[in-house]
Amino acid sequence: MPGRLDNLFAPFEGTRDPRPLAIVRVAFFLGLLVHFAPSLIWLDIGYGRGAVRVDAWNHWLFAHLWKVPPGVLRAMALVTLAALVAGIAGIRPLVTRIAAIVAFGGCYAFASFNCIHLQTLALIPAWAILWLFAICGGNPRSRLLAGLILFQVLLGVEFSGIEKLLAGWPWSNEMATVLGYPHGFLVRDWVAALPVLHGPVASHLFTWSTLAVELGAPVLLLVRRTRVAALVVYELFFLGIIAMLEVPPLFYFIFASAPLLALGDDQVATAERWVRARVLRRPSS
Amino acid sequence: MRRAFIVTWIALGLAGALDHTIADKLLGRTFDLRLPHLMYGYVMFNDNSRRVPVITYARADGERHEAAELDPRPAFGYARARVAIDALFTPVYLRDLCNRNLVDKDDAITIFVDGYDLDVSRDHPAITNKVTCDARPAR
Repeated sequence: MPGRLDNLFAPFEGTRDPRPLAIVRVAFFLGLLVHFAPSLIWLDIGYGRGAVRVDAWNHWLFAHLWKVPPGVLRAMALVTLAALVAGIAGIRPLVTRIAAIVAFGGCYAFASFNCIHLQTLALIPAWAILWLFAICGGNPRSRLLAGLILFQVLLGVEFSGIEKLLAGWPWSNEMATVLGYPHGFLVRDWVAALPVLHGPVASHLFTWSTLAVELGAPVLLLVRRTRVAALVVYELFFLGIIAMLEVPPLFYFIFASAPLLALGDDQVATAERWVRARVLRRPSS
Repeated sequence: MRRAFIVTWIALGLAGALDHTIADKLLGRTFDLRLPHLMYGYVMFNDNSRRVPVITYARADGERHEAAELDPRPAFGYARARVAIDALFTPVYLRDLCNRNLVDKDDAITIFVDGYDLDVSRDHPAITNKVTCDARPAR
């Protein structure tokens, strides 16, 4: 029984190659910085007295933060930005942990103060990942941190597929609606302009491939034999989303980077050799 | 202790996911799990409206521009979507955007909300609403 339990918890215990988690950390905090920096720099528009505001996260913060003096608010914004930069730098695990705690407090407070301009969907996994960095620390070798971030992101992808199933995607060809949006709403200009994407063949193809990737990839990424193929398909899928739809970069930074954590140490080493040989054209050291 | 944390985290994540899918379908309601990452489920384009707005604006010369240009804060790669979604969920947002961009007492801005109905046409709006603001004193 203890052996079985040990096997069950193995993905979350011990240490691993630090590079995938370092990539995920940089992508994640960079995504948050790109997402929050504009509203924290142009502070008055979203958080000044008289700003149009919407309550989406913490009602108490929504009701109380407008009373905070502008100087204190400016200081909060600067501290939040500094924490996000510290998270990218990842100087030491302890610094990353503190940066995650401060960044969570700051980003959550500002998102609660006014959720307009800060699209809600991209922030759902961000809160979880900030908590994980805060609780588990920033050690890039930590299997606990890597395993739980991977779980959190793949859970989001799997259940967005399940939500689509429950919403009737297999029978409704929902991508025909998305791909049919006019120039200026949600889709990028080239998607609105390309007639081949507006026909039933393309839209059915996109509907079914979306379901297949969202429902299949999170499972196949966990199986060693199918992992690399699933990772390639998964990455192409999220590249397709960011190339076709106007979604915040944070969405891409989180969802595209996290599956690298599924790679085993030997697969990371193989990938490194491949990149050195094919892309950098340097022999491995 | 570590294993208890792992089990708790995974159980909470699953509870949050099931809350917005199975519980919603079976029980007809969701439960407030309080934690921010469990509040909204994992919804990504599962139900897409076939009536959507495209928002532009014009000054006195009548030339149409993207309404996203009225917001000085950059939104890399999603500026138009940000304006459209904020306008959909917060109607007063467009009025605020309009007022903030008046540059002098003679300035006037008209924001056009072209409503497209995909069941009718994706090339021509089915309806157009206007939000107009100027800095002239009210009579």
